[in-house]
Amino acid sequence: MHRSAGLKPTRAAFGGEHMRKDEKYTVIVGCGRLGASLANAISDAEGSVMMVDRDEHAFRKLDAAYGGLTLVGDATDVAVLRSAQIERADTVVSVTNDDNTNIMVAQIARNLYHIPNVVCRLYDPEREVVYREFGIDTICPTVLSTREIDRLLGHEKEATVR
Amino acid sequence: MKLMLTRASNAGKLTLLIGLLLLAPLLVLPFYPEDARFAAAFLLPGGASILLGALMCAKKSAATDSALEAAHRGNLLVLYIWAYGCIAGALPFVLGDRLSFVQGLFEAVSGWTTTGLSVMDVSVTPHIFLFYRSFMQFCGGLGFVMIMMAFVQGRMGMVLYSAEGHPDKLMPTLRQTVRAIVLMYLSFLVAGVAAYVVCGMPLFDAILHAMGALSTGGFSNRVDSISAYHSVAIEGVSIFLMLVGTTNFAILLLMVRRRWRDALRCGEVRFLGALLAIFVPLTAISLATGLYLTAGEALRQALFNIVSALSTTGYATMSYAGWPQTAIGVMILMMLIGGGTGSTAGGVKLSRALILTKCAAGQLRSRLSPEHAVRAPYYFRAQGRTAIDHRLLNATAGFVVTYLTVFVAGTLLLTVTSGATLTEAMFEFASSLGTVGLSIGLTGPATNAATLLVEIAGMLLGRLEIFIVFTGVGSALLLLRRKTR
Repeated sequence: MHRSAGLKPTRAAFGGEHMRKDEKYTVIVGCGRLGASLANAISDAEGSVMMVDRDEHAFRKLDAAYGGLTLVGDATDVAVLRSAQIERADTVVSVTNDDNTNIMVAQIARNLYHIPNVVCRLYDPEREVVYREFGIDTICPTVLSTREIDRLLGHEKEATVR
Repeated sequence: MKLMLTRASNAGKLTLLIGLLLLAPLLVLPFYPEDARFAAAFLLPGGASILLGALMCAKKSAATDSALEAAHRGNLLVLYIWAYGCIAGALPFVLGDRLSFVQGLFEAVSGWTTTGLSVMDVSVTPHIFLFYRSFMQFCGGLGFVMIMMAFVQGRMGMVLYSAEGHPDKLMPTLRQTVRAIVLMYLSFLVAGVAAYVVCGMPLFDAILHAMGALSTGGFSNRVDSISAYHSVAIEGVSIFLMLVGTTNFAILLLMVRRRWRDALRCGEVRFLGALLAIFVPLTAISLATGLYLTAGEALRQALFNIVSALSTTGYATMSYAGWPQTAIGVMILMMLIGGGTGSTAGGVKLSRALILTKCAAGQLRSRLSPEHAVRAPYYFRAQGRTAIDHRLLNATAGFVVTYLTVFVAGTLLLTVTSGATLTEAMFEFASSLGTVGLSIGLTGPATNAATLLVEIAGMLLGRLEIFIVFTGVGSALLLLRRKTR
């Protein structure tokens, strides 16, 4: 995994290496690059993972050594989430490439199943503000990237970027 | 200690495991002290394997490879451990002065692959060897990799697990999956032993037969196999255990959790039921008319022997020498189809046969429907509805064609080496390749070495699902070339 500032909050949330075995159960929705590398990391640390994606071919991105489960289906469908045993989950991560799907999944997880940790990725920074009040942790690549580029460009240009 | 083992090389761990398994038969010595003179035959190869394994463990497992290289390494490792297991497993028979090397190898391969063909005269075999044979089947039913995973796991776990031919994940981590399977397997063993004892079988026989039936192995300590007990109840228990053994572990887990509707919806379960519903009465009619048995007797014989063949177990209740050709033909067909995917059984596997049957039916239907009619075939697995797409169909057809090719080649070879008729050779090789263990009379203490070698090849190819043997050799060549470059 990249050690960029952008991904650090999520790594801390899952605790990668120091996750207790056989206890935590994580459901990840969306097997993109982010979802897959997250799932691989958790599986490597012998954590329990379920990966949900509506496209079977997306699971290619998982390692050959990935020991978790996979499920093909649309995660905005409660029946699919139920067969992913979402009610057992401690953490739900929604990282599909569609903001609306991510928000929908996160809301289902939080409001219907009362999952303690819900993380959701949003591309559009304007929506982050709206959904903060739902108590859902959001990460926004746009905001993170802006901040990082800002840092890389150094202090002298700080004024212009702001 | 545990951490050390986790990091140690997988080849070392597996070799160590084989050593431990070879020592396990010593557990019967307190009950049969007269067999103590054979202890050295087990201690020697067992101790040597443990030593060798420990030495190999000292070498750390290879650093992370590319995914392809890891897969190659996995194939090679699975092939290595099965070859090593069979050779090391043959040694106790040879050192105990029971069999020649080829015969010992045959017996070991027949054991680990859960076949059950035998060249031993069980009426004069000491208890420790009888237990050893059945114990090999019990372990072989799970597979070496699966047993190792029950104790320690390493980074390559998932790669090895799928390389050994276990297709299912039941739980969100591999550790839990393996634990669930081993637990189910052991519970059914205990239940099976208890049921046999209740039905009047001596305890030692009960343990042996429960291990043999559950692993779909079929070694017995009686010359007449199950029929030695003349008990309908014992036959009933055997049929139940054989059916459990031939059921996919994922479906079995559904049943254990009493999710009957999900379990009965599975294609394999229904296909198994359909096959039994068609072929048991057919065989019964053939036996009733051909051997002049009463209707009830014919049905009982047909049910037991068809289940035994289809589940690839190989317990027999009568000699097949006088059977009508129709019944023999049905038995060969059953042995070729075989048991469930991801179970302890062999053969083409029910799901593959089901997929091809569906494909054939779909062909028929599409010829009768309009040109542009769209069809989306599917079947149910324990994991849910699965589409039969081109990739799955390709893999299935490729496997079945290879399987049948090997079957024909092996049958022809057997007619050369043993001078048997074509029917006998087909029966015997279908039995070897499907890891069934029924014999029409070609295999026994007097069988020549060439015939045994052909059958050994069949059993190994059948247990490891053919491709892994070839890809294992291919992987070895590729890795070797990379090293020398």
